[in-house]
Amino acid sequence: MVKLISIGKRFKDVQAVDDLSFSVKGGEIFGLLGENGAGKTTTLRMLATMLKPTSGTATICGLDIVKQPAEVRKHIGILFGGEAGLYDRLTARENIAYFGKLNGMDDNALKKRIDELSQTLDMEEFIDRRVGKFSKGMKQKVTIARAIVHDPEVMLLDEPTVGLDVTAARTLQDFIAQCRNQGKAVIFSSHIMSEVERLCDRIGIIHKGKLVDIGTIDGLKQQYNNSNLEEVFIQLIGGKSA
Amino acid sequence: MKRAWIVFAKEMKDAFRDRRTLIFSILLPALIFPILMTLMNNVMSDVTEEATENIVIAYVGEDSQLKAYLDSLPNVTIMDSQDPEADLDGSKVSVIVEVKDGLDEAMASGAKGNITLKYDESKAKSSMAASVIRETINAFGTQVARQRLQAKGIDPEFIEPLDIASINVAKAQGEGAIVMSFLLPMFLLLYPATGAMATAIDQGAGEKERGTLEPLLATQVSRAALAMGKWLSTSAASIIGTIAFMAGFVVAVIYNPTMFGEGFTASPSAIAAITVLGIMMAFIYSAAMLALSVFARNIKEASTYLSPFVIVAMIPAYATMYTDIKTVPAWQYNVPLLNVILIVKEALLDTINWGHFAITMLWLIALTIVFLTMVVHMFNNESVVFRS
Ligand SMILES: Nc1ncnc2c1ncn2[C@@H]1O[C@H](COP(=O)(O)OP(=O)(O)OP(=O)(O)O)[C@@H](O)[C@H]1O
Ligand SMILES: [Mg+2]
Repeated sequence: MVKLISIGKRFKDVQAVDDLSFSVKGGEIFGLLGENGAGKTTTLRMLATMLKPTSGTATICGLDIVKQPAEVRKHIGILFGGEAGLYDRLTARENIAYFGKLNGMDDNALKKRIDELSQTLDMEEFIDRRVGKFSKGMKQKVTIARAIVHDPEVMLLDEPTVGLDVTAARTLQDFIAQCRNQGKAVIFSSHIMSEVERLCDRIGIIHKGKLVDIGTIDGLKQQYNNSNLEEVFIQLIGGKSA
Repeated sequence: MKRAWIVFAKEMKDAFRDRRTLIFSILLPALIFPILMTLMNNVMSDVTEEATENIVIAYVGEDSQLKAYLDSLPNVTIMDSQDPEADLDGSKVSVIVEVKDGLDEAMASGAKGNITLKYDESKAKSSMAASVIRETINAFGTQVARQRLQAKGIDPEFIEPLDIASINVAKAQGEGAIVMSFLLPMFLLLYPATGAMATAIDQGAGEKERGTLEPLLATQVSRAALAMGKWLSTSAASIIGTIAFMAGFVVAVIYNPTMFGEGFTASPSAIAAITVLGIMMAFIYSAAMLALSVFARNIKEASTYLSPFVIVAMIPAYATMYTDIKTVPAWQYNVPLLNVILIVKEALLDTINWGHFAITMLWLIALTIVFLTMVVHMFNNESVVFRS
């Protein structure tokens, strides 16, 4: 469903992403691992059509991200970590509905969908309150709902659990697993090995923009003869602490 | 364009829920003129009233006809003062009238009498009272002069050889039109700018700062629709702000009709032209401000970029304060903003040249399109979207 074809991105003097090629199927969770500055966010932003690749390309649902960015956007949902970007003066429902409408949903379908999402994400209590005073976890739920309100086939998640407490992170992880069960292709980046191990079907390790290795977690552990994913990771990126 | 409407509706809802925006772009503008004028009016009329309706003076010197004359005036009270200088200093009296002995004899014999007025220039009340008293004493002097002439059998008219009559030939508009021809163009350049500012900042740089720009751009909304929706809602805020200002101004003028002099009227076509220009100003400012706001890294930077608008808007208004609209060279109608002011001045004299009006409109529309195109381009430009 997602196919990266020698994709690369150069910012002036930094080669942020260098010749990445791999594909992710529907119903699969793909983990993107790499140290700070490895190029994870840049890769996801290119897939989200927010950045233009300087070399190569990628396809999403068969659509070229460079030639048909507007078409590609119909099929993706993004959740980029850090600050949850919401409109404080709108209610949770209004925030979600705004993105739903911009994604072409009509009022009836939208209402049904938001009610459904607010039930699954346990937001019924605060769905009609303004998000300004929400806790981080509450805001995160709204951002998740917003990202998938139009039921996209491909989810792009950049460090989605960063800054969340254990329960909020768990809600999100359950949600990601649920996306896989619905047949969506999920690509997400993370620094948290336990989360990666629990969720990912396959992982790709990138270092300085290049793909160092790719495979299932068990496969990689066997290949490098180490049962600790973190140590495999450090070994692969050439760290000294291994 | 349905999506532009969705953006518009959301931004309007958002703006109307922002108490700060509401206060600063509607309530404050609406109240500023009425408050300012009520204050000014009260203070001014209080001072003038006190200073001229009830003047307390001290009289120094022997009794005279002048003293009797002053005493007979309803608005003058002569106070018995032990220390007139101290009373003047303490504002107990406004003026001291000092008369040299033998005034009555001097008047009767045809000689000159000597009178000294003492007052305090640093006190508005005292200096206003002094000029009233000076006029009063002059009137008394004229009376004496007439009596002297009549006593010698001469007609008092004899020493007034000229009779000067002045007739004002300015168009019937009067003083009001002169003040309005400065104020109205300035309002038209200023208010749409102040009205658009808060909303423009929130909708451009605000999206970046909140982190909503990236998810927004990842939806299926086209960049053109996004720019259009934001531009229209900023324009709406600008127009609402301008109407609020104007409403406040009109209310103030209705309650103090003499504030700007009387006799101001405008023809329906002039009012229509001014209204259209006001709306165009809202459109062009909104497009320009949005472009700068989208370019800015954050809200603070956007505020820095946008605040000069207000000053820039006032330059042509002041520069044309004394312009005679009949002698303006044609090229000036090709200078954006300046041409708006010139048309308003034409409208107020009811001499709109519709050719000038068309040129002005073309400039405004062309620039608005340029700015809007810039906004669309910037939404497509990753180095602007992720500028940090
Ligand atoms: N807009 C940009 N302009 C210039 N350089 C950039 C830009 N965005 C990222 N970079 C550079 O590209 C490289 C990869 O950055 P990226 O954000 O993709 O890394 P990352 O893997 O997401 O790191 P982190 O784990 O810290 O989030 C870095 O060297 C970064 O400085
Ligand atoms: Mg990152």
